[in-house]
Amino acid sequence: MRELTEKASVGIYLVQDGVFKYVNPKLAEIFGYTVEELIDKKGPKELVLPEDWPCVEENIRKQISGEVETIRYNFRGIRKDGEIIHVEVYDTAIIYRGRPSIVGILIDITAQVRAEERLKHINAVLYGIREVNQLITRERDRNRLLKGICDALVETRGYYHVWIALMDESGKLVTNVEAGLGKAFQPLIKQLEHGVLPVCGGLALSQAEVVVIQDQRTRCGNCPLVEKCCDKGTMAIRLEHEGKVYGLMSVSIPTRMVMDEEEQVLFEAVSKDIALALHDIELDEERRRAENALRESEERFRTLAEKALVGVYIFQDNRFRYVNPALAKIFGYRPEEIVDKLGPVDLTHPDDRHMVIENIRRRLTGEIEAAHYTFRGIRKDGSIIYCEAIGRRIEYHGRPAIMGTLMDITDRKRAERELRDAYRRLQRAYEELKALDKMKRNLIANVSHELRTPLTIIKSAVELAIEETDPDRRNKFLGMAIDAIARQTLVIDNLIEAARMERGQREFNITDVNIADVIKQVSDEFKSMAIKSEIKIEVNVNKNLPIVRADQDKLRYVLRNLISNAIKFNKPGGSVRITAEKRKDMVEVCVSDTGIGIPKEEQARIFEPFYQVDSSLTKQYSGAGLGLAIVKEIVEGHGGKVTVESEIDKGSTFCFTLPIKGKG
Amino acid sequence: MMAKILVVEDEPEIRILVKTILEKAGYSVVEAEDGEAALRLVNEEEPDLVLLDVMIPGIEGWEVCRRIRENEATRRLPIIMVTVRTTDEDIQRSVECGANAHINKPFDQRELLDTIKKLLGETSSP
Repeated sequence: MRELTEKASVGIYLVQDGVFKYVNPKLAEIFGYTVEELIDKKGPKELVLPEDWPCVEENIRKQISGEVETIRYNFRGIRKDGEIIHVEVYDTAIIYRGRPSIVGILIDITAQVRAEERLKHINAVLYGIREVNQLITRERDRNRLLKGICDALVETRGYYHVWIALMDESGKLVTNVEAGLGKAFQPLIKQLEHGVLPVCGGLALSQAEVVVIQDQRTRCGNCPLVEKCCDKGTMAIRLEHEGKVYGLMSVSIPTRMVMDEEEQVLFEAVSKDIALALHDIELDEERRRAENALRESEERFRTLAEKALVGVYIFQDNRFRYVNPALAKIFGYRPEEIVDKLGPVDLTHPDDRHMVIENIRRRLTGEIEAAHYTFRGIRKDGSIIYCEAIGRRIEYHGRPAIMGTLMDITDRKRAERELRDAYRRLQRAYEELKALDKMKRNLIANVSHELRTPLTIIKSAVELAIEETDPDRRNKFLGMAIDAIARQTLVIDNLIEAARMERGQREFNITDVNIADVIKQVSDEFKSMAIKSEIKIEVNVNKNLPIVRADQDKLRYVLRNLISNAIKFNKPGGSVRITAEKRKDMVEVCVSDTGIGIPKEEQARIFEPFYQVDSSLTKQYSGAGLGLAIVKEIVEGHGGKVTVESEIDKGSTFCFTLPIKGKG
Repeated sequence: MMAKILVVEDEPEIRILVKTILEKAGYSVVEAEDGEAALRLVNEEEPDLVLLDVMIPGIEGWEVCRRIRENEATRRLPIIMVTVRTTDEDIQRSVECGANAHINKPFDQRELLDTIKKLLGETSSP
């Protein structure tokens, strides 16, 4: 029995009157004593942690008083070296040598308790890490992340306070977050803003390892938090990832935790996680910035293209891959009707397709980089427009394509054409004006000549007649004057008719007219003139001609002009022949001469007002150039026609027709 | 010595009337109907003065005047343009072609004779 207890692996003891009466070697070993040092010398009170003693004393009392027979409980003991151990005891009350005693078994459960504590600690650490990691994975906002971490460390780890400061690009600590400090943090923020670091911070930034401070009162004199940190442990560490230092974290923790390696490892791990999170956030921000920049630039391009007033297009493999609304509108489509459905050829006029295809081919083969050309396009409604395109080769989805702009220049083309037309019209008008001006000068010269020549004759002839005493000679002068007056009358009649014609006045006094009589009378008027010019006048008129409807005065005018021309443009010894015939419903009167004739190309123009075939003939065959124009006007006013047939140096024949009474 | 005057005029009546007036004033008269005849006669007849119409067949009167001036033999021959061309522009052209005087038609007998007398008096006493 004794041997059994002596070798037992549990502590065995007997206590009587508060003193050990027996302890086995194991029990002494558990408490770091020798058996001899305990027996009769020490009692349980000296081996129990004072805090636990009341509880142990009570248990002892209960047993000795017989309230309970056996009892099992735990307490903390103190070893001889002062170390605290956890023990479990099974006590039984007995009577030993006539006196109440307690015999018991004691087991050192320190390792077990430690293990449990450690498990709890690890669980707490894991919980803390989980909280922190959740924040790290979830939170993308720097401040909220740091604040969350601070709160989590205070809540889950039992830290008194936590603060984190981040550096800006210049190394200044600007982002300051805390938990457990509140207003007390403000003075430190101020100090950090001025670039003054507390001891913990300065040390943390200068080394990779965890900084641990316990003697704050001597070391942290200048720190505003010194009172908060005193009598506690302080840990600080820099937040570093892949060589980049983001800032630092400093915590105030229970003293017992400061030297705990687990705690330091956790602290370091958390700092690394924070740094990694900050690094991720930074990458995120950079990516977002880059994405934003890209999106903005894409948006700018798209807005530019979509809102552009010129057409913008990209085509590849003969299909449009992009067109902006302006381009679609130019061709009368909606963009979605063109993209991936139509190609450049579909929008090109058949006559210009070859040119457009060739331009595309040369760019796609790299023969040329860009092309600038105009072509005719076809709109959806089939109408044709003029387009100006500038396009260049690009890489689109890794393959050659053509991108360019296109403008509808139809209006410009039309304007150009109109301008050209207008210019031509202007030029024509200018030529006409020049011709008119020349004609006007000719007219003035001609009119002047026509009026002044007879006047010259009249004046000189009358003056000479007055001075003349010989009657024959005087009569000759007066005869010259009378002829000149007749000539003057014709010229004045012409001018009046021309003026009337110019004003658009066509008043005909239509009566029944015996045309044969009128021809006879008018031709007689020219007798003396014909004799003087050595011209023979032949009148060959059918006596039984029907009566015509005409203005008799105008008819005389027509005949006078034709006959006077026939004499004027004749040659000495020539003849003038006047005929009249019935032709269907009309009577045709013709006046032929044997004169100089009229060139073919001039025959149509001689009826234009103020026209004279050759200005060098002006004098010889004088006239204001109005006669034939008036003749045409009068004849056509009667519903008749004037014609001319002529051969150079043989003579001319002018004919006109007049309607017969009761016909037409 | 009777001065000789060349009358260049295509209207027969006017030619007759001018000839009558000049002969009554004591001049001898040579006649031409057109410019070519005039240019020929200034050389053949060596007249002392020319009365020159503008609107004549063939070469125009002003051109005839210019050609008379270009010819060294007739460069100083007095020329009077007698014409229906009466505008300022026409008178200017007469001056430019080298005529000594410009008389409008219908002309005044006295003015015509005075001008002739003046021109003959000036040129006959160099």
